[in-house]
Amino acid sequence: MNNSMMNHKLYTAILLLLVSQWMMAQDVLIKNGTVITITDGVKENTDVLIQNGRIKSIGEGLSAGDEVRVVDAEGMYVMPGIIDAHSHIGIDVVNESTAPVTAEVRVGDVINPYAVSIYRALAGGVTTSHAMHGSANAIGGQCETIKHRYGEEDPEALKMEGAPRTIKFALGENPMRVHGEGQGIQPKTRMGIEQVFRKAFAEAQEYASAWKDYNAGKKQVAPAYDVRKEAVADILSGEIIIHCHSYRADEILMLMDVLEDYGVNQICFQHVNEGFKVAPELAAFGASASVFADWWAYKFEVYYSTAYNAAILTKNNVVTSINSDSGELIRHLYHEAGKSQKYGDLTDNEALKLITINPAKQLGIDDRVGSLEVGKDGDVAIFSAHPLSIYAIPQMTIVDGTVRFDIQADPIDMRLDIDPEEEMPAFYELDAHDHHRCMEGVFEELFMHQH
Amino acid sequence: MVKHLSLLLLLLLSALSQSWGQDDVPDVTSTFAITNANIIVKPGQIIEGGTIVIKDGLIHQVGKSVTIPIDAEVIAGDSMFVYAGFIAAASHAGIPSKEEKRQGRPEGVKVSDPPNDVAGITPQKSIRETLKHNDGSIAALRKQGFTISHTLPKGRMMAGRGSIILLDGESADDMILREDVSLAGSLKSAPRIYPGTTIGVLAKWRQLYRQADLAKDHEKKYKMAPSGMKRPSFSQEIKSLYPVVNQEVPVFFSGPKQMDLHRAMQLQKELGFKMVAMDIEQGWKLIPRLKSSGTTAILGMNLPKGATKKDKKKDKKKGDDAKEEKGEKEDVGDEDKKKPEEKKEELTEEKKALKKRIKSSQADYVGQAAAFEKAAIPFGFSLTKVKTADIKKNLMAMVEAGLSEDAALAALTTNPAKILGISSMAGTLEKGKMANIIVADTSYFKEKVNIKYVFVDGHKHEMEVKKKEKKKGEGEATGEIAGTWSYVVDVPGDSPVEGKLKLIGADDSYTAEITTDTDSDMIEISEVEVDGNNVSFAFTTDIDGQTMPISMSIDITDDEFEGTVSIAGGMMTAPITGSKTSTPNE
Repeated sequence: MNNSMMNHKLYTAILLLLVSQWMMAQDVLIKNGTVITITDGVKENTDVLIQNGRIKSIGEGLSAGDEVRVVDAEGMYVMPGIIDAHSHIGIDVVNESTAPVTAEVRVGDVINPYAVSIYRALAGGVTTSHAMHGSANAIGGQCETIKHRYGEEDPEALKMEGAPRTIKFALGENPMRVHGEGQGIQPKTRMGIEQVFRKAFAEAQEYASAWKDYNAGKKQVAPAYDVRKEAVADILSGEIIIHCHSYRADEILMLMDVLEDYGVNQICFQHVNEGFKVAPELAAFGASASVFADWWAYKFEVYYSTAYNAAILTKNNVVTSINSDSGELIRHLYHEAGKSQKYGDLTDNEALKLITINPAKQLGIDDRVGSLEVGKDGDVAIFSAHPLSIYAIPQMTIVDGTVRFDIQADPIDMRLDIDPEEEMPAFYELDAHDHHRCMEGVFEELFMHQH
Repeated sequence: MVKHLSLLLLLLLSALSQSWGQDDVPDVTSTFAITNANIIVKPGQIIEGGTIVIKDGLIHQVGKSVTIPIDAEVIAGDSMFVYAGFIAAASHAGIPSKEEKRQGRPEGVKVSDPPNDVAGITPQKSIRETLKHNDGSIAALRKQGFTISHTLPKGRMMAGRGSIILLDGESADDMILREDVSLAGSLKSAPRIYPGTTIGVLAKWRQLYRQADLAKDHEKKYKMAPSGMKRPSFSQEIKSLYPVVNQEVPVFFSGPKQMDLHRAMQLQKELGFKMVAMDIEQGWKLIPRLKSSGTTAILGMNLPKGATKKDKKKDKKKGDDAKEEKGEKEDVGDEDKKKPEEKKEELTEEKKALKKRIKSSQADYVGQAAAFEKAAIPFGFSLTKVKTADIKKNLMAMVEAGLSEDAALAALTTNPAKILGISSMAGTLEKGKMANIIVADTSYFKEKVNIKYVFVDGHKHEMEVKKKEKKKGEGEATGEIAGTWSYVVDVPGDSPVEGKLKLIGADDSYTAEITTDTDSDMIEISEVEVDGNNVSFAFTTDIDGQTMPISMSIDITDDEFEGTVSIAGGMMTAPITGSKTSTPNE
């Protein structure tokens, strides 16, 4: 064995050892922290015991066996792992932008566990994110709720088992530009977008009833199989929660009208910058809202906005969350939540709900995550100071009882997969995965094509 | 007059080469005897000083005491090594590269619902239509010792059906050993039409597969009792999927990278078709799953750039040149022993660590075959992506990384024969098998081996033994650079971008013009850097009011090139491949 091969073997062995220690599933006892439960107040000098990946107990002076890893959290703040209801990290494709309706495509098919952006999110205390299809189409693809189990190499292991199915819808300029302007087809206008929904719903209804007849033995021959209509029919039957890219109030009202006509009631409006104008209507419909703290004016339909949006929606009893839609912003969602206190005077707990239990509700996973309660998943973020303080630094992030980020053991290079043809030198500040956005996927935009 | 003369000479020469072309001389006899040779009957079984007799296309006798027929042409095999002809478990041999080239978004096509053939869905296509018996790839592979190829059509998600062919013959009919034995499948998306991404392709696979399953049922019911039933009427694409749905014909699914392979395996699990995973380049982490699911594996014979010794030497040379020109001091690897130590130290710790990881990653790729052998997964090799000239070099790199010679030989002979179901006729030098034979002047696993004869179906091909090649300067251009090239940028997870690249000039002074198929605007590039066969240039383009820097670096080999496109200083990189469409004079 020559020298370089020996080196290689040694290196691999050391790396394996490191990785296995770092993500060893182990019971964890977090001692003497200030525990922000979200659903049951703030508890000083309190311990949290995680056993077999679940929260076993929360209380003072807890003890556990020798096998348990003890984390001293004295002077630190312990909160539920942060949840991002709108992100595009950890997936290889964002937009199948070739048709106005692509309900059949699933970003869950292209999860990439090697995306280092997942680790970066962990370093910001985020344990769960909603990996979404982009907003190029009126009805985009199905999304995937992922747990940030960075270190797992099987994409399936990142999917949050049992999380409800969700799908991306989009209103306004994006689908109009891609299909109307780009291809000269419907939808060219906001009116056209409404008709795209109505047509898709009507066809799916017909399709579902044709299959019902066939399955009941009323027809000899099966209806023509259509993977797209299957998915839309699943929306109508309530199996899939809609997450709709939206800005303007008039369009938001339009979609609620359409959904009412078809008896669909599970919807979360995403971005929803003009949500403050229709907050009572959203609350009455039972729709939720996932917003930016203070991000707007990046295109014409997003000018009429306010940093008070999250607070106004919250005060109107709309289940509201703050999301990132970005591989960078996802690292400081706790700052984004903090902004809602400057603008709108939300209480600490109201502000933290925006990044914990509320996004959990919007994803239909609030029985599992979003608060520190006995029986819930062992997803915990530990901060050096109160998470709404500008001085707070994430110390440790635990997913299902496994420590996935520890600031004390945070090697420089956390990539799990190295491109063997990579050019030297390499800088990763501009990792393409970090820049996934709603409109990503139209490569020609980057490549000599002008709109 | 001079012009006429040279034309005449050219004509004469081509006529001569046609009539005297070695391969076209009819064999004097169809009986051959290779005597006193080291006969590797199959991996691990060698007959020293044995004789092998070929008669009428078959192996007539093998052994130590064999009677040589009187009409046999005797090849004195003293010290020579005789192997079973190699079998490519998957390749595009015989399919001209100009056929089935990917095209830009075609005009007049509904982007959201294009016709199947445009979208890359042609499962009805057989290679018989495109197979050319005189395509250069056939003789080139034969020269490397290959005698049989499982040839798959080129294309996208369902490119068509593969056939097993002999790498020798007068016509497509003559060459095809077994027709339509497989369906070529992949996750390759269509250019800016549906399905334009991997998620679209996977959805389309589900759509077509289930549609075919129902259609098959419908036809069956109609056949039994048509009265009162709607007449079944399905496309040829759907109909040609029936054998796949019935699990009679396997899908040879291309899954180079770990995620591709994972996605293919998930799809297979969901739909249930028979699958052979091919083109595997990064499959070592999925070995347990391949094993537990019993998936047949075909490894890609291509290796990452810079991962083999020769590549490294080339890199080193390039590095040195660059240093001289730019005065840069870079680490150029382990071979760089002569450099004073202090120069090495100028690499930052960070760069060193990054380089170490790249090297470690390369070693994983080169070591893949050995890892499969260790896990006792028999595998064949796919040649769909490797340059023919790199086959031996890459195999030797794999051997150096721990693959045993027996396993390497099995991957070229007995394993592919088994995978393709032709073990009873090919893959070993046993009596009664097809006379597909390699005769080499020493062990195939020696670096300086020369293959002297290759028999295909008993037909002898004498190889020109390489005379000492003139030492070409490393990195010297092997092809003419100037001309018009068509290129395809393979955007990761997205539709490919295509267009034309025109390189103008001669010697070391070139300019370029570049266009895309979707945009009529042409960009002129005044500075093109040419270093041997490497061509690089940079330009900026205006995207939504933003200036975006784009750089390209391509390596030209004859009429093909491959390289990398880098956007916004490396924010995004994508592989680019191209081929020459015309020379400046055309």
